[in-house]
Amino acid sequence: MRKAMCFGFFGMFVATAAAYGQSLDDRAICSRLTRGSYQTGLYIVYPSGSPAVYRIKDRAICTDDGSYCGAAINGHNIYMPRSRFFYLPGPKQGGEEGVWHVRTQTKAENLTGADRAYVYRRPIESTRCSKDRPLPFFTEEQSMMPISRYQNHHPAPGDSRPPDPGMSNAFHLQIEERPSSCVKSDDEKVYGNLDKLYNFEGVRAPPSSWAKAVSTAAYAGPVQYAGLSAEFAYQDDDKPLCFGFNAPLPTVSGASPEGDWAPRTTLIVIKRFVRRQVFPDFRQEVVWSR
Amino acid sequence: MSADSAETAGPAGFRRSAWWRFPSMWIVASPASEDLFSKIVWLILPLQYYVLSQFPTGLRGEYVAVALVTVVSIASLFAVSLLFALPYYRTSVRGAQTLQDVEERFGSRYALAVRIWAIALIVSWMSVYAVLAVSYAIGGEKGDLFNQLICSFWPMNECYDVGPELRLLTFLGYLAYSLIAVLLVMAIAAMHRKFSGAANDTSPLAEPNPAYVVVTIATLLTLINRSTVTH
Repeated sequence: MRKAMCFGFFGMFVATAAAYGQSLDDRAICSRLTRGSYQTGLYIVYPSGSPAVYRIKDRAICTDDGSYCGAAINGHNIYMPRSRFFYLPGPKQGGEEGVWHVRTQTKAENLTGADRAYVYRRPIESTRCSKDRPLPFFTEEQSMMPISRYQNHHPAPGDSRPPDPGMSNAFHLQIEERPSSCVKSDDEKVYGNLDKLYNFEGVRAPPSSWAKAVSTAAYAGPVQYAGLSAEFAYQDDDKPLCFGFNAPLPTVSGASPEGDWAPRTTLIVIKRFVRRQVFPDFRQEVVWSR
Repeated sequence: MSADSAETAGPAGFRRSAWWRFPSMWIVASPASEDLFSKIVWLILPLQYYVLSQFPTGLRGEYVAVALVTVVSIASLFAVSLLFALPYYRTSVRGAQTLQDVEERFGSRYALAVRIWAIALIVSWMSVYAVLAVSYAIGGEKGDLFNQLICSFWPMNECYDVGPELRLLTFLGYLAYSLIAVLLVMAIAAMHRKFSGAANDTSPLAEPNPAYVVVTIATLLTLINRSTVTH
């Protein structure tokens, strides 16, 4: 096993669509993290060459080629722009597909007022409900969307929602409830209160320009978060369960992850979809060290 | 024979509305029809609200904001009418006596031209929103019918945009809707004239070319709808 003496630079590979919604990098990292008797839970992984790797060297788990090193999340976590979270869920109960919804809400030292959310599902070539047809997906640009788009698609009971083929097809997906029968993950008849299931806690989308112009409503102040994200993860094979998702990104218009932003805490909420039911799987506020 | 050449009927110097022109004069042919259309045009408010609330980041629940959009839309249409009426300064009306009659009844030629264009644009604006509303109502969760049609043949990332963008595809879609709306108004006018046995209405000035109406409506629709969407 190689220790965390990761010299050299390998760069990030361009993620390519893989059979079960993971990139080649993710699969290599998952393969390493789930080797032997592993601990389920949340990990943070850095590319080699990242200064964070040296700070976690005592507990680092590195891929065999040394490209990536990571460690389990604890009380002192180091944020780096090109890092990535990995979650190792508990084993499946039956023969269901692995479908998880991951929501993150990040507060930063010097940034607030998120007006966008990063909403993403990796390209998936096939699922049990879409065997011969790759699932559509958002482009990187479309993924960084106004908060109102995400929230409008997940209304509270009794509220209607506007038609949004993008959210329905490029983010949500069909889940097998039994062989030859599928349900859509944004079907409120199946999953009930979509607002409670999917939306960001304590976040209200900023008003539109026209609404601001008439200023008839007492709008809440700017959003207190600097980064909001929502992702779907999918795994349907016999390997140990493991998937990656983005580390915090600033979702304030004009802000850049490479810029001067300092995440303070990230609330991570992961829910697991098992056929027609949803179970809370993980909830923790990750604290970032300087 | 030019479509604009007219049999003299009604007041001297007036021409029969050409069948292929937008029937502005039919809309105001009598006080009753003018009154009816002036009431129907108020439907623009709920129609515009319905359509603008169908965009993923549209003005859902923002009633006052939509009312503002409607006011700005109508003001824009009127401003365009003022512009399009400018060439009518040079339009001649047959017969000096007739010109006096025209000016007595309708005011200046320019004012008449503005009126004819404003009627054409505002009625078409209401009609295009009615057509869009029907399209969204039928399309349901999958969005408007034009988008569904294009995306079923050419699936592309633009099909998943947050709303109307300032691009050619959006403009072409609205061009199609505007054409349907204008043709609908012209068809209703033609059927009414046929079944009521009335001859074509007469007009002292040529009524708008529907092609100009269609392009104008499509352009304004693209700009105004795009402005209501948060990107």
